[in-house]
Amino acid sequence: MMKYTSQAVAKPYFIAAIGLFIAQVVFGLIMGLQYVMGDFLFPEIPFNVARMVHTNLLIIWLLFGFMGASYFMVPEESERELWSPKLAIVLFWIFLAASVLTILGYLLVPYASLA
Amino acid sequence: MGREFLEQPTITKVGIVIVVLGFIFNIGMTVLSGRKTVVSVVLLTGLVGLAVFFLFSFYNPDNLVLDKYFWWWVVHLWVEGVWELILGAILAFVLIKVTGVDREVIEKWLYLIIAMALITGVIGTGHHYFYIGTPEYWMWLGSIFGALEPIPFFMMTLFAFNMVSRRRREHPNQAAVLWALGTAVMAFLGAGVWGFMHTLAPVNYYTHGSQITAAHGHMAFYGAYVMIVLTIISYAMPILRGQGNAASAGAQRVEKWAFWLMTVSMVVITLALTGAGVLQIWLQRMAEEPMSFMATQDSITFFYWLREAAGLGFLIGLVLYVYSFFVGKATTPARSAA
Repeated sequence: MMKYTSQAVAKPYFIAAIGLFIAQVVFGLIMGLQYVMGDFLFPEIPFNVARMVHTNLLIIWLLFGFMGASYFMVPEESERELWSPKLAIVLFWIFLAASVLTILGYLLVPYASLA
Repeated sequence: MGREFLEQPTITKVGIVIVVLGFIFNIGMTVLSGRKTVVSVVLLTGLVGLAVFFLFSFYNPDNLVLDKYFWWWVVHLWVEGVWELILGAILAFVLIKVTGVDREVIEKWLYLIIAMALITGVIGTGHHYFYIGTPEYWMWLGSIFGALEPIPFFMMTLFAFNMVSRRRREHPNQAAVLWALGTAVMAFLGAGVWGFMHTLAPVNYYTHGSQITAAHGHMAFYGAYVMIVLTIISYAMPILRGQGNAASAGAQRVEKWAFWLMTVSMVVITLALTGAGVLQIWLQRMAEEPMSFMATQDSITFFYWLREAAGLGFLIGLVLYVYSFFVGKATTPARSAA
């Protein structure tokens, strides 16, 4: 059982982390194949784009994981509810939207014209 | 823009800063107004460090040497600095829960580990400053402190196995225990051993920017950071899902299979890339008549195919891992411990 109900905000963070982890591995496999079949998925997903998506997804999902871990651990360690569960949920959706949009930007917009 | 890992458009970087600041504020207010433990203070310190060093991603000097110099302040001081604090805190938290060993004992280990991580890791940044236009003294500093960087990871391995062997209870979540031990071993191998392999300047003279780096990067990220996140997910998810202290025995069995499939696959990926790296260095940089980059790449495709096959094994392990969340969920909740 959860000791503090606000620990529950960790759950969406963990689910998002796992989802992005799967995407990271898929792009890793695409790139791994491009090492030996140079024109695989070219020009749709060039190697440099796949590489960017692979490494950026890694960072993003680990951050989701660290955040989920913190939201789960800190109430229990501090012996009190999280200061603001609502803020945690709002930030979750902002972070997820920004992450997905950025990855889509990598895939759909030529990098040179991306801000 | 355009720098590895930091390719995010400026607007995304600003968004990351806002999200992380809000997150740290929320966590910080909770820590500061509640019971302060070594675990939560180390965690918070790591998170603040993560935010502070990310700010260097906004600094983009025109001079390529300075650019790389400060790029490492984000990348190295994250993964070989402040992230180790986060890793240590999560590992300590899970070990307190699953072993029942006194918090005081675990906290002492945590202090020693993070002290060694920072003592070796901060100046260890120098092992990225070989042959890129930075002053020569970095060769000595980077080699010496880099060579010491495996120590905190070795301590983590000793820590995890010691605590588990001194456990005062059999926690029902054995999958989480497996992940915690796995993290300690694989972080030592990936970050410690594979990092040491190319941290000495005379070795790095040949290995710089080769597939050896890719081999190290894969096993270190998986062993240290992927596995610690999966450790806390493994521990926390059953509790968050109202399954008591642990998932069903069936679900844990699937999760442990996923652990082994992913971990063994990552070992094979790392060995394949190491093979590719050694051959690459030999053919391209050490042979009597060095080959061109692309000709070299064409000669080592065997290892790239091996890596791809192992990558497929990793994906299967990951799918199995996701599947483990859906095993035996139909049974009644609160099937807790014994």
